[in-house]
Amino acid sequence: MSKELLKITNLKTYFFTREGVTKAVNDVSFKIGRNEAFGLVGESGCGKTVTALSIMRLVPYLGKTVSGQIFFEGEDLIKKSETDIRRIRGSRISMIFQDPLTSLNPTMKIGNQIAEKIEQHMHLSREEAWEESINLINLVGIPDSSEKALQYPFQLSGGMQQRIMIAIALSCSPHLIIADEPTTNVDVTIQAQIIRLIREKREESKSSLLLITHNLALVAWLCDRLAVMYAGKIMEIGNSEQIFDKPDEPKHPYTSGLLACIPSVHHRKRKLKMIKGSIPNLLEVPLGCPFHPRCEIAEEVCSRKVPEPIEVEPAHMIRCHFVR
Amino acid sequence: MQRAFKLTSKSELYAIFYALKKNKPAIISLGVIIILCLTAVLADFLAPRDPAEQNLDYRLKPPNTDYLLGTDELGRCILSRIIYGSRVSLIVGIISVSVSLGIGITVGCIAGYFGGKIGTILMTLVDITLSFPGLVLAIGFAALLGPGINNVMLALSLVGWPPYARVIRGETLALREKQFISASKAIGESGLYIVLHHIIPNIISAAIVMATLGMGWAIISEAGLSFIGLGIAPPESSWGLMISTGRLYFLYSPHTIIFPCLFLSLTILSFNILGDGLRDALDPRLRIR
Amino acid sequence: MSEFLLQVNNLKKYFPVTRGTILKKIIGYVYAVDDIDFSIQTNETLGIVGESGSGKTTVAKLILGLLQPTSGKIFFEGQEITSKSNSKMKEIRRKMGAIFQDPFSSLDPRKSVYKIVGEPITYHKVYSGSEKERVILDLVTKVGLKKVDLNRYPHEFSGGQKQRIAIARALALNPALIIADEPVSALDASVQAKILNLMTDLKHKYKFSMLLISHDLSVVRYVSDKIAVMYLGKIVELSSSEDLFSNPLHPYSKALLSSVPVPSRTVMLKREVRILKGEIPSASNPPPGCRFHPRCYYTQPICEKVEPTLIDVGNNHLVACHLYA
Repeated sequence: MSKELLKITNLKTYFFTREGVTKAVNDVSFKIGRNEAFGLVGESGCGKTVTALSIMRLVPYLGKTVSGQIFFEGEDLIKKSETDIRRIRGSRISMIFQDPLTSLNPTMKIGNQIAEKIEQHMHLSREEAWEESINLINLVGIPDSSEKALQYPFQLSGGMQQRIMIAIALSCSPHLIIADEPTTNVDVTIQAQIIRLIREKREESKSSLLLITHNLALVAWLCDRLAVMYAGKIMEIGNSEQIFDKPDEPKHPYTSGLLACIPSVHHRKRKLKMIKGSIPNLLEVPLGCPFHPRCEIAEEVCSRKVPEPIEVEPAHMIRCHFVR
Repeated sequence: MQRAFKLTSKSELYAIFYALKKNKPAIISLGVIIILCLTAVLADFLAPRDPAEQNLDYRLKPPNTDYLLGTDELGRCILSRIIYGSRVSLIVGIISVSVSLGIGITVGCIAGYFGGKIGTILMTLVDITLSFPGLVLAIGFAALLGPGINNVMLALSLVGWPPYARVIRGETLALREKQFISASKAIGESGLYIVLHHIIPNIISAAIVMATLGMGWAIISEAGLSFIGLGIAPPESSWGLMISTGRLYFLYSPHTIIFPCLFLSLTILSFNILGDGLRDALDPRLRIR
Repeated sequence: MSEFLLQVNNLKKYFPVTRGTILKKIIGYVYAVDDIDFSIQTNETLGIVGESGSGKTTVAKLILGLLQPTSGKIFFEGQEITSKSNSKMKEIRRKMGAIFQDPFSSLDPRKSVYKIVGEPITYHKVYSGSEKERVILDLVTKVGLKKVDLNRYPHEFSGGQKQRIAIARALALNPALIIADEPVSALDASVQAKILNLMTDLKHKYKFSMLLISHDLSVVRYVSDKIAVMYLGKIVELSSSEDLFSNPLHPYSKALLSSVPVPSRTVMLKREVRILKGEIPSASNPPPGCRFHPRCYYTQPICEKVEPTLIDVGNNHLVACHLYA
């Protein structure tokens, strides 16, 4: 039994469009252990969602995983057949999507949407699955569960819809939950409720979490370890304390840049440090280190050679030529 | 004083024409339409014969050296009739569509942007008109107005505007909610100013595409009306009328119908392609740079 | 009262909920903004923060004149502007600039940057000819764009750049007051920082006042001098920025502040997040008494019956809660 739940090595997923090849995921490697919460952070277009979709083998049209391995509980998901993947999807790996309004079927009652999944994966009868789904609706903190089960998604608020998504994701006790921006469209006080829910459920079921978000603070809240992505590559992997709470520790310039530009609620920064330049078009990623045009410590070698991952401390990897 | 930079409305027009230039099919279509228009204008010089001149000994003759496109059932030169016919078809098409478009855009924008009771009344009028089959309504109007080319155009204009109004109102409703309209209101712009400067430029492409399709409908409807005596009267010719009468002789003298059909199709196709090209050239997002 | 640039008294906006198509019958109201007061001085920024249903966006629209209030008064530079018609508002509008949330739909896709930024100038006929060109070029450079950008169209720019264009437009007539409705919510973190820095720089340079509306407390903190916290159409707390963050009084403000995560693992592991129970109620059916009472941890019997009013507990720190009455 492998001690790692998920191990991704050298994953590459490209999109073949009319304008060219978009290297959305360009040599990504990381590991998630059992009962571990892992954050995948980056701004828009960095490739984090495509990574999640690659794991689930749900890469959209025009995209294809061209190389790499995704080992889940010892088996390479890329080599599996469609039927086998379908058995894993939903039961051993579950995904919570960003926008519940488009991820829930608007014409189906909530209870049925949960029950459908339970029926499929756990081979229960229709009635038993319905009972179980009402249980789950209760479990995610929605009152009047038997009434709510009979309602349609549009009748619920955004926060409740997101909880239903979590209920569906949790329904078959998955070993890994992938959550893609689970609270982006939700108010901050509701976000707090949902984060607490995710934490509680994870503790009960001991499932691992892959949290995908652009919100670094959210990662600090939920995750033990994280990876920072930029233009399809992972720039840094480390545990949360190393990255958030040790300002003297070496960090990737992009990570430091991101941390410095977050306005704080708790003290008024005099001026936000900015990262010069802007996120590159994925059709025209700079050669060498993709971050070099915006990097303050970049030198000539950065425009030629892609930096290799360097382990600066145990379990702390930085992809930079000049890491101290 | 040195100019800060150069951008005037003139260069906007230039940008549009430049974008259009790159679109070969659109330029070819524009050329065809220009040629057709010139043909219509210079008909007196281009037509080999008087289109009304009958030669009863020489009826339904296929194309030959004398009569380049043959003769019709009354021995008239088909080529000449086609040349003069282009006048009618083009005028009816362009004018009735323009008038319909004008009414449709006005009604659509008012109903869509200002809404309220007036909007409801206007849209009810649109719905009532749309519930009649177009041609039947046109016949009704034409019968009321009497025959003649001007009445045909009036009838077709009155029948043709509701579909434009419907579509434009829908587009206007969608646009009204966009934040750049709120931004304009925040600047203090009046409703009329917003409709003229922001709504209309953004709906113009939908309108153009509809207009090119409407052109085909107008020309064919004119044919129908003329055929039942409510449009232009013989000996005048229009392509539509030539097609309608030529139907009777199709089996043995197909040339009577093929040539007018060819010109009609060519014209409608050219308008459609030009319309597509114009729509793309007008939208800054679609301009091929 | 002319010491204030903007003053709002007892402002209310109720949206009727109707049934039927031809003969509309009113079956209820959405109490979007329900009796609020605030003021902004010259060279001062007021941030309004709140979640969905708080009414903050409606406030922006009311100040801009995009919506007419149900009741209450709005004063600008001492003059009442509450129910002025569009034509009378023309002069006032020249002194206000607006920045909206969605950079993708707040710029007319069919107009060049030159036309968009110059629109206030063109409409109000302030400048013309080469003078106008010079002013527009100047505006665009102020926000960090280039001369070549003037001939470009919105779709050619990124989200952050589009907001810069929107800011340039808002500044076109050198307004005394800028109203910004969620100006950075749609932008990435690194871009947010740039736009926020730009706004603060411009503020210091041109000394305009700002009404900033956001759901993001950290954004509001960074830019504002005073902050108003709104909940379900009411202002529940109003104080200086410093006071609110160092000493939040209203239970909702406390919950809001503790719900905002910070990028620190050690802090987040230790933090006692005050998680509110339940959902935000609908603005068409607000709870009786204090609107916040169903979700509050400190409710007393009076909270269900009597609505608390805003009182000054010292140092111009206003709070509407029976705990401090």
